Amino acid sequence: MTLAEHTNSIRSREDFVGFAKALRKDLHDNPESWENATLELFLEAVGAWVEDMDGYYLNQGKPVPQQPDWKVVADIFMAAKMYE
Amino acid sequence: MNFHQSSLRWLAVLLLSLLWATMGSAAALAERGNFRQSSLAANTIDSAAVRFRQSSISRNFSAGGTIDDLAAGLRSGSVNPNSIPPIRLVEREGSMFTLDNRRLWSFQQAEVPIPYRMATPQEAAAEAWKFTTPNGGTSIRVRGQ
Repeated sequence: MTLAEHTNSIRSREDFVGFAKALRKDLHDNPESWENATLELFLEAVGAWVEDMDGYYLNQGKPVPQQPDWKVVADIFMAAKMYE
Repeated sequence: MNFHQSSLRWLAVLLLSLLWATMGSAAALAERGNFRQSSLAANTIDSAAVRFRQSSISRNFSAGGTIDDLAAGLRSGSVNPNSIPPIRLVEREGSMFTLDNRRLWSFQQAEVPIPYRMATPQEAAAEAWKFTTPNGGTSIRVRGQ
């Protein structure tokens, strides 16, 4: 399962724990695929994506989350991996 | 094969290996923002015709340098456009969007055609989280302004 597929399958806290482990392994195994591979860059991207995230859900044809669930937290982490 | 011919063959192999390694390193550095590195020429497209995927971008490249530096270099001619890694494009409803928003911003500011290639389906899926534009990608906000 790819990280993207993993993210999209999250329904529970246990799912998120598995996702977090997979994300850490991805950073370890494929650091070149991380645009924001330092904590400073990652946190900057977290804030930027959360600010912009309405557009992501609207472009996907999905409702904008009013309260974050585990899937949204995973979306934030995934986005922060790559957000420019 | 005499000793002289054998030595020449080994020297040729060594030089080709060094050239290959150098090209790979240059491409990797350029991909991370060191846009003065050389790479092979690619097809180009009018930068104004390409849309942004993101709603906003950082002013800085992750490996150093700014989008303003790149735009200025392109505008002055001190940066060869073909030395920049091609942006990756995704087609959506007849429009071309990029996965590489900062490079596109710099080329648009400089009004220079931009090297490009089509993104693979795997790249597009892996970077779907970048698709935050609220305006169809016609403009982008630079953070920190």
